[in-house]
Amino acid sequence: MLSREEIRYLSHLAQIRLSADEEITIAQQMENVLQHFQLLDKLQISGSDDQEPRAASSWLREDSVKPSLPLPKALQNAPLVQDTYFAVPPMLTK
Amino acid sequence: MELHKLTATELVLLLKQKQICALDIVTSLLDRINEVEPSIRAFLEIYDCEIIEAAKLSDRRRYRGKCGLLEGIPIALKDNICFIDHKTTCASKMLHNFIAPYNAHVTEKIIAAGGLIIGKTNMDEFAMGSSSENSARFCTRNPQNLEYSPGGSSSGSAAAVAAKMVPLALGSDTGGSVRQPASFTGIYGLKPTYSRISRYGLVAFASSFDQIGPMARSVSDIALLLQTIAGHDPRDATSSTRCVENYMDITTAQDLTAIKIGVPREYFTEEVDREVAAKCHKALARLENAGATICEISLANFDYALTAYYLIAAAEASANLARYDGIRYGYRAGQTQKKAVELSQSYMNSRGQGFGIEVKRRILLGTYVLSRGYYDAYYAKALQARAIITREIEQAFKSVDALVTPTSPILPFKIGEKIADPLAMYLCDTFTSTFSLSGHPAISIPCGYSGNDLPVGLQLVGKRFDEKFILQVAQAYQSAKNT
Repeated sequence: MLSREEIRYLSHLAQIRLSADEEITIAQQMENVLQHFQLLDKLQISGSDDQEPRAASSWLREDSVKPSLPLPKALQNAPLVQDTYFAVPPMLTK
Repeated sequence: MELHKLTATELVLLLKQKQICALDIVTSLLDRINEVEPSIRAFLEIYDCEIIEAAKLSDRRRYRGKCGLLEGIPIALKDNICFIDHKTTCASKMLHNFIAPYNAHVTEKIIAAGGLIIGKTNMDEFAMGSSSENSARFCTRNPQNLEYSPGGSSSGSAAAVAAKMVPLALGSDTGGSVRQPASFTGIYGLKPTYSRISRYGLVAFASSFDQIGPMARSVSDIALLLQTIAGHDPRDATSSTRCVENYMDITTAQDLTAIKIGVPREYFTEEVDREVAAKCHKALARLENAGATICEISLANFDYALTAYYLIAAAEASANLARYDGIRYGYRAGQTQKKAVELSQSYMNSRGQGFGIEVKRRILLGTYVLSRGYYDAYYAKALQARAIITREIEQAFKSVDALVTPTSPILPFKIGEKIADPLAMYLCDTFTSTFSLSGHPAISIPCGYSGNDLPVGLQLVGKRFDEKFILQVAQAYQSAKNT
């Protein structure tokens, strides 16, 4: 089973705080899912099997200046705003 | 006339004949919503006042002779599709007060075609789930039997269409989220070819899979809505530039005599519910009677599809949902406290409190498979599996014109039956996720009811960009069923 430390490390990487109960539940459930996923070990893969499912159809646009979202629209969903800026907590504590 | 019972195509005809007006349709649907919505709970928001005004404007446009393809037809949107100046919450606490600052491409197309947006529908949070139970708001019920789940994640869209609260709805399909709820509620649901419909304005879950898809009570209605929203959009870099066919030209029943339908044997094993298999075999017999040649084929690597899908989708979700930091938009924990917490703690707390358990589980799973030491064992291998499975399906299409499978290996399940076991819930997507991996178009067609009156869906899969062909076969099946 995934250890408590491993789950905490993952939650740190994903920047998601988990409660103690969630740590236990998610560890158990992820273990079940990952066990099932080990099925993939049986798949015969040759060295020539690439990782690209199909020819990518994406394309690049011209690097031209276009109007962006108006400021009031860009700020309308921010939890905290100061003047015309997003307000954020301090990055460093004293 | 009970207009709520009619399909969109029937309503379009009556509108053209001036037998009814858009306001008549809207009034009928709002009455229907008042009657059944309290027990089904398909909608997160209903724009009742707004749609009455929109219907009046539509009627004026018609009077002036300016009619779009969907003129006067009400449509519901899944709540992960942006509608400007309206809430788009993805049924998540994280986006509980998010107001869309722009329209999705599909929303623009619907409005330009004269469609009337009636409301936003419930869903599993961020489209992660197969039952609606992961919605942070409430659980939607299956109109066929209120004790049962309508499937998911486009739960509300499916339930609203099935309960005749709206003739058309849009869902989104990442691993089966249009097809499985369509199957569970007895309606039609199409996942188009990946890239056929722009994803601009669709809240991202797993970008290499996500596709918006129409849901309706007839094949013609699916064609009508697909016609409206398909096509190139420069704002989605994966959007196809291929010409859009005339999907609505499917009224003449397709002659099935020259058509070869492949049935992958791996989809009809003992693990499939007996009633589901029996109904699908009966549907195949009907297609055969209509002239189609049915042949068994093999998709030998089918077993790996679900695993590959869940690994890649979780990895993509972990990256896509990293944007929810509680700074630019979304839920921020402790924002009212005078003493602000440190920035990294604010991220941790906001995401910990804003996301539901299934979303957290998938982000952590995605983080795990992308992390050092596990990337090659899981993610890289899943990408290789995807390539192998896609090639295998392309190979199958060299000898057959379409593939047919059950949409879901099981019948609809009761609310609460699977929620405690994520793996059991994931297995519901076994038959749909294969074609999400490969990007092929697939439609779920209602093909009968179990002894317990629960709907069964048949999945019809076509070659890339062969939406018109599978719609024609679906139409021919429907005609054969009615004769």
